[in-house]
Amino acid sequence: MFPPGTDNPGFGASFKEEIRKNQGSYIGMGAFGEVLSRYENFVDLDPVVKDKWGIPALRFHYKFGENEHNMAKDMKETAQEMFEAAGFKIIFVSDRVLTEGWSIHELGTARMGNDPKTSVLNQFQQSHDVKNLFVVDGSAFVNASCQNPTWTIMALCWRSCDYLADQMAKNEL
Amino acid sequence: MSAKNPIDLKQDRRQWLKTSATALGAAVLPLPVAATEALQAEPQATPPAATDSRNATGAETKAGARFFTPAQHTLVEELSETIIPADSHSGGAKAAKVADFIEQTVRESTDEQQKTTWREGLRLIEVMSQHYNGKSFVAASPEERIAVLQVLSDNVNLTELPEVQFFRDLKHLTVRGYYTSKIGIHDELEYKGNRILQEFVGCGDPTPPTT
Repeated sequence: MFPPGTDNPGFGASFKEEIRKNQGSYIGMGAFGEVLSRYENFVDLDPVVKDKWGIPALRFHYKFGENEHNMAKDMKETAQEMFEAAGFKIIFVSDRVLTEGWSIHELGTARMGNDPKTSVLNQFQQSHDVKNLFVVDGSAFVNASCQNPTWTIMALCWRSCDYLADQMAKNEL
Repeated sequence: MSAKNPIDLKQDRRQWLKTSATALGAAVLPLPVAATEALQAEPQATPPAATDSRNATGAETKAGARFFTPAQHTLVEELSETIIPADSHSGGAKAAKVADFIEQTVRESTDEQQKTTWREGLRLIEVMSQHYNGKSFVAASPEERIAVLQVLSDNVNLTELPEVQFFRDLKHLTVRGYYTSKIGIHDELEYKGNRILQEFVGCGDPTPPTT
């Protein structure tokens, strides 16, 4: 209903008429993409800034890499092709990539893996170093998928809890 | 709508910035933000202790904290009306009180950059209006006002220029304010809201199949 009128060119009487004429027929498309893990991306504790309980603030060092930017370019072109093929009149195309962290899907930093040298958690989100520590949130991710991560977080958590219960029953934890 | 030979804004602005420096005094240009901020401070100083009194009524607090001066508010009204004018179909941005919407949005914004864009933008619009029309934007005719905004609209991709940034935000907020107002939704777009369909007529084939 609400016309995305800012993207229509121009202003004034003709602008107003154009929006009125085409109202209800506007359509837009955005794209999501996977973010690969990069060695250069990490979080650490701020040596200076602390919260009111004296806990150091978390600092994010996080940038998209070449693959993400190339994918964004491809998404833009593909979306444009689809709209053109469908016969839409294209008003506005943008390849703006949202700032890193904008989606608030914090994932990774304690990635899972088989090798304790290159990962923090094992396949059950259990710490390699501290056996009775399980990190059952998004920290175990090795990338940031193109989907919203909540269901995957829940599935992994479920699986890890089953394992945890099983290990406890066997008195192995 | 746009001129056959769109004005080269980057060329032109050198001229009008130069004229503004001589007309307004050289001190204004190097410190545009500080100068407009001083203007902002004036009306706030008039009601004594209105802002620091916790018991001040909502209306008083609001009036004391307004972002635009009365003159700036009038300018914003005319700017928004130039973006979305009244026509035979419905009222324009002025009737829809878009300037009040913009006032509140900018005042409550946590983005200092946006506030600067508006202070600086309103100043530059005046400078441009003086350059192109020889009079203030508010005193100019609708055609003369369009001529000023047309320059910015034709150069809308020069986002590094503060006046273009201002134009983009002005248009964005005018569209938002207007089409979320009663006039914008009901009069202009004739939105009827969610209504129960007594009968679903569908679309397309004008002659229904006879079975």
